[in-house]
Amino acid sequence: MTDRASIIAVLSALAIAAGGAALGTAGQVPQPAGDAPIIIAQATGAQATGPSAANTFNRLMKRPGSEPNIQPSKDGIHDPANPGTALLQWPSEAFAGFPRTNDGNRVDWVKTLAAGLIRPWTELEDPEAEPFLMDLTIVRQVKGSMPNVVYPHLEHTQWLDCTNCHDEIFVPEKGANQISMAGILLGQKCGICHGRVAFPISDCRRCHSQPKTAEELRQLSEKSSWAKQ
Amino acid sequence: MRASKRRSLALGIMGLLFVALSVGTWFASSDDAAAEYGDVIINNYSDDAAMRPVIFPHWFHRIRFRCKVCHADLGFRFKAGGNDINMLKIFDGEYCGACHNGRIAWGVENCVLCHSGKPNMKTGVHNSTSDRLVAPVGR
Amino acid sequence: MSKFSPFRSLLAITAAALLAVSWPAAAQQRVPADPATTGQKAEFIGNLVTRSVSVSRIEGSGDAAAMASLAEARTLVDRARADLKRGAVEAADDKLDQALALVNSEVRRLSGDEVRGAHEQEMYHRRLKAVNTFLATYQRVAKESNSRAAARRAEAIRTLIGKAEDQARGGRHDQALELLDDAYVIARGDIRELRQGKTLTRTLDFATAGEEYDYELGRNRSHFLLLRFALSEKTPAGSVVGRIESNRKKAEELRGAAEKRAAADGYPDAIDLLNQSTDLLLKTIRMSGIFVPG
Repeated sequence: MTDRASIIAVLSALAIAAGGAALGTAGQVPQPAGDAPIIIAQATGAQATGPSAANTFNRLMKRPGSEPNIQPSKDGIHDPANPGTALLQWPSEAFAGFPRTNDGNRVDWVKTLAAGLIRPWTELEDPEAEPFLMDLTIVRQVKGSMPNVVYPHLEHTQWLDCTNCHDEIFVPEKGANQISMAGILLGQKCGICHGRVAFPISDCRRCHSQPKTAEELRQLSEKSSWAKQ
Repeated sequence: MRASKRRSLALGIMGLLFVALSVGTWFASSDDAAAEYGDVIINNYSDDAAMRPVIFPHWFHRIRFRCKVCHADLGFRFKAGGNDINMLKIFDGEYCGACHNGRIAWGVENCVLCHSGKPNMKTGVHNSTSDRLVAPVGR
Repeated sequence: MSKFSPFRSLLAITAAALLAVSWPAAAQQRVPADPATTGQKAEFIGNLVTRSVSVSRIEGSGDAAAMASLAEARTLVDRARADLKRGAVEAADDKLDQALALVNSEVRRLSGDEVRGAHEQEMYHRRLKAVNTFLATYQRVAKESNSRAAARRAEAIRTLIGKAEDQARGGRHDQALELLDDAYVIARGDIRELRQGKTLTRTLDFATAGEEYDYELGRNRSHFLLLRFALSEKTPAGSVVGRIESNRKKAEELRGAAEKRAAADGYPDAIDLLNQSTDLLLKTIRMSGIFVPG
């Protein structure tokens, strides 16, 4: 572990020395040069002072292996026998100070971006390029008492290009897209990202966020009464 | 006594159901539930070439680049293993090679940083919802 | 890898700090060489020069210069292995980098524009489809908004698409892509102008009972899957599991009954039965410990 920390410290320093070009683009993230080793110290410190894994609260209710942001050598997919594994950054180090959530990476990426804690590039050859943002909100009415779905283009265009979704995933036209929760859970439509990379489906309210009005509920129940027509 | 027997029977049936559902994806090691969300295992060719599979950490890259850069400009499809990447393409500056060339990010001489996965793992986004649905973690 | 050693850690941080100020900008960007890392690298680059897709490319080309470079790369790997044996890790690492660079540059030279060209062609077709979609969207949205300039703008986009198609026909997919990008930038900007700041509501409208039945069937299937998901996410207490299972069976029966009614064209009844099934599933999902609003 110490070996790992020291090698990363060396690599971080190298990255900074090389003008942020080595090992990603550390220089672009607003972290002054001197910070790199300190972050590592924080991460290792937190590891040492936390409660021991054997005595966590509600021990039996915890899913096995669900410890968040675990280091690569223990994550079950990286090979600890590979010498490179020990050199990889730990997610817990990278995420220090980011707004948290309860699922996915345990990071609220939208808030993290909005707060300027990360500054991801929009163009490969132009670190200063700004993304093309579009503020268009789509509300999708759904059956039952479940709140309607609110889809904000704005947050999505912070990350994505229009062509990422249109029209291979969504046709930009009313009534042209059949979306079901089953499909999403199985990785289609919204589920191409949500459930794989973007926040997963564990809190309905993140998308089903607009409660129905009394009038809407009445109309929806009328639509079901075909027998009366 | 009888109630508890019935309960264990029901549990047993559910367990069997889950096992049946998960057999199809029971390929990777059973403790991969700890993998960081969004990590992609790419093993199209690695096993056959006696290389460790590549693990692509989405989280690391999204800190540095918006999704658009790779998925629109570089042409990465939204499908694990769906880009048919091999070293020829990387040498030629396509896909990973667009950055991992010693200019924007470190180059291909750091084999061990990408080829870092356990052998014989299935290509896919690990810890994805659809994966967990087919092979529930509560098993 | 080794026991905790505050001294080594301190040393490393000091070294790192020194490097940070003294390392030239064009410093090497590779992981530090040590016996384990370089040993692994020797194995991997050994694969690259003996059994890789790059070897097939070089051997398949029959190109004498490329074959000579490959032979040289193999020798370098052998010498690197010898270096490793006698503990000369840095020397070994250098030779491995040289071997890699040889293969890299030969493969690039042999492929010419082939790999890039194929990728560009694929990108072109995907982008063309997207741009045509945005053109259609723009025209539709402009019609809604009675925009007068729209016809002129659409014509400009169409002209660019036409030019791109000409380039593509001539095999110049890189040029074609640039033209498509210009068209795309105009289209998306114009759409944004017409849509910015708006909220559009997609209401549920069913033309027939059969259509609503299909929608309800999809919703019902979704809830079965959501229940399975809930059970995989939360681990409900044993006492609840039995009730969950009996509810699930009941919901399945209701759906079966709905499907029978639908087969006999009794859609309104079928919708009713499906709603009962879905409502029961919703209650059951809540029992498993997931909060469902509404």
